[in-house]
Amino acid sequence: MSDNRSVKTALFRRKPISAYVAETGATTEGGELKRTIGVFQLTMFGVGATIGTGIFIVLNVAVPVAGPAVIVAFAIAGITAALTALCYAELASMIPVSGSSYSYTYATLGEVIAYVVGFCLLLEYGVSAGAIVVGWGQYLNEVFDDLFGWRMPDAISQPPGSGGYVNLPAVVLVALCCFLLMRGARESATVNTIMVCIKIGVLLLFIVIGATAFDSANLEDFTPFGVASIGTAAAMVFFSFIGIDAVSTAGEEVHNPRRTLPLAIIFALVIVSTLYVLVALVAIAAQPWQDFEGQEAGLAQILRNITGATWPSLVLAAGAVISLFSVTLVVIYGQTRILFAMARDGMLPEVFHKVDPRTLTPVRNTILVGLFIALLGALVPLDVLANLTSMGTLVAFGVVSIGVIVLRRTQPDAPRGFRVPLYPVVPLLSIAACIYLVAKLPFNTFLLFAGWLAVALVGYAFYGMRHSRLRGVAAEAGQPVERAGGQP
Amino acid sequence: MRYLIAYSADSGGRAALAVARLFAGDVTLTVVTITPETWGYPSSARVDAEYAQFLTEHAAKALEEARQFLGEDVEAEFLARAARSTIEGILDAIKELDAKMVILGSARNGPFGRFVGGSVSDSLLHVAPVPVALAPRGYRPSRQTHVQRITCCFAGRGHTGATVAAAAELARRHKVPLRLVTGVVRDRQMYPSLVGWQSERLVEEQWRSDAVEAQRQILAILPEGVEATAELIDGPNWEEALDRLDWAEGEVLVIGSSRLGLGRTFLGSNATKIVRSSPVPTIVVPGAAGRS
Repeated sequence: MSDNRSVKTALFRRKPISAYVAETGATTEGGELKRTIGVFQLTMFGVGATIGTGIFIVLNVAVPVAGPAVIVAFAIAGITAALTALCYAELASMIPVSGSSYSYTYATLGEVIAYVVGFCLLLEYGVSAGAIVVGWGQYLNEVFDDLFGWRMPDAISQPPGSGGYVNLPAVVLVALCCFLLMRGARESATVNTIMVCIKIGVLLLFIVIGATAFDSANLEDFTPFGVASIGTAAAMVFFSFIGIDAVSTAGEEVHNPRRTLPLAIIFALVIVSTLYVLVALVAIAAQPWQDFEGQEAGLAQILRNITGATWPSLVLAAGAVISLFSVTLVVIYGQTRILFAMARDGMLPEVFHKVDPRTLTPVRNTILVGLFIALLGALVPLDVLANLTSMGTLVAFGVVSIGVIVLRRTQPDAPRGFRVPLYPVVPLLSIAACIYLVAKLPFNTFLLFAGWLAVALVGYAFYGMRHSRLRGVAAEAGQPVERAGGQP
Repeated sequence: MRYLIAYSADSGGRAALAVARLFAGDVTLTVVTITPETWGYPSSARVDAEYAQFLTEHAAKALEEARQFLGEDVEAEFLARAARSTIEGILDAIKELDAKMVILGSARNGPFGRFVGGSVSDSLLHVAPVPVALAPRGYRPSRQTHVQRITCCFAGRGHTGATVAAAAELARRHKVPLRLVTGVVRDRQMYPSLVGWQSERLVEEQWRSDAVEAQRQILAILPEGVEATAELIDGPNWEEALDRLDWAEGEVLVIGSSRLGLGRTFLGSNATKIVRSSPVPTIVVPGAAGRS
């Protein structure tokens, strides 16, 4: 009966920042990392991490919701992404650790919220990987069609409910990526650059060829579902801005972060948003908005319809197949490392932080993540996955923005490599934008998300709270305090 | 107890002898040179008699050179064997003489002071039933040097036990201390990692503490009479990681075979890199299935 206070302490115990630093050995050996990354490189890094997660697949989900106004939706989503990324950058510069928003939350808002954010990240990474692999399957099918005039039967390329049993290409891609990750494969800066070029190249190809079929009549009925529907579409396409937070995590290596970080975030978002808006504009002007629903590998199909030839759609589909592969690799990698960080804190079972001595990779962790993503990709339709991803990401980003305000009040003097400009306007706007977009998501997404939260809370109550590494350690305001005597 | 030196009359052969000299006194050294087999029955008009004669003389000359290289003070046996292939000859000799190790020299291409695989060592490292010692190119410690210490590089889990057991056995046989080394070598990094550049550090730290624990356990179960220490090394690649260790003159490195070894030597991906970057002779011990 004496537990009431101690449970409350447990729920909101925070992990001291110094503990993070000690854990990653960030300051030992070799000293400071070389600050070598400039604005241009970081911008390219952001563009590379962002493009590819959604633009190839999200139009066919979002256009049936808002019609041609989806163009505006991209702009709204882009602005929201910019606001959240700035907030993200401040926390990242204060807390130089991996695990992204999960770690930041753990250090600022307390354990139970960190646990929930960790589960939101499972949506941002795991579920988005599910959506990406589904899209990959569609573009692979398009490549087959253009090359051989043959498509995989629906039974093995569609989830149940859309006329199939299982989405086999999705499963194959996840298996491939997991295999590579378990072997310790890494994507190098060179490969990343090539991938960025491929992605931008095929999008430009689409814009240039698509513009030849520009028909302004298709834009006339701009908001067939009213202005309110734009918000819903913006929430859906927010999915395609995931990855911009990667820029913020580069703080350690960035030269003059105060200037470089915001510039790179803004440049990257301007480039990405411009490309997205142009792609959306061209796509919508090329065919009536009603045609988008049910289209697969949308961009490639549009190219084929307007040119009547197969090569443009083949080039685009092939580019998508290659770049979505690398995106999947990176996203699955991110997911395994976030779970690793959570398991290190005792929030998840130990199996997630077992390292294989030969490859120095968390093999079992990768297998479990792979199974989870493969199941999603194989059995769940794309629009559900995309919405859930947006939901999880927006919630996580919103919490990070709150974290910025909390830390400014609780630790006003802590060193920050980067400070959000126009405080408190930017974090408040960021929170408002996240809430607005979340509120616009369809009702079934809320139901699924509520279920997911329930899983998270049960997981916390029955596992995380009892196994937390901070158990028995009172931690306050970033200062580790000595161990308490025993369990109450 | 007998060690076999697979000798050829070149710099690789001399490096192999130099390694063998580290073990002189503790074991019997047998220098074997393999010559091609001639027809086993009288050929018409004995057309290959001169060739056979040449081979015999060649082998005798090679072995005489080996004897001179080893020096008067080193006791050794010298044998010439004819076999259809060098590998077959070496394997037969190992079996017949019940050798406990076979010592090979490096191929001639590649950097001085490192081992480079040639055709014989490449094949032998797939089939040898006993430990194979590989001499770096141009290996030449001073004549009196005896083996000083055995360093065992191991990963810390799985069938590691067999490797450490073999290294401990060597240390006991030659009455030298044993040093256990685990490498934390990560040479690659996911570039657009989405979760920050620090994420690999977390994995690395976890592995570091796992490795320390594994070393502690192994130190606890080492047989009596072996003096052992443990170290962790790290670096962006094996070359640099191995470079950070202090190496005594006359130190040798012991590594295990891949899981695919099944009682024979078989280099895994890390072992291949270690062999290529080791500045001291490397002994590859066979996989676990061969030992009981």
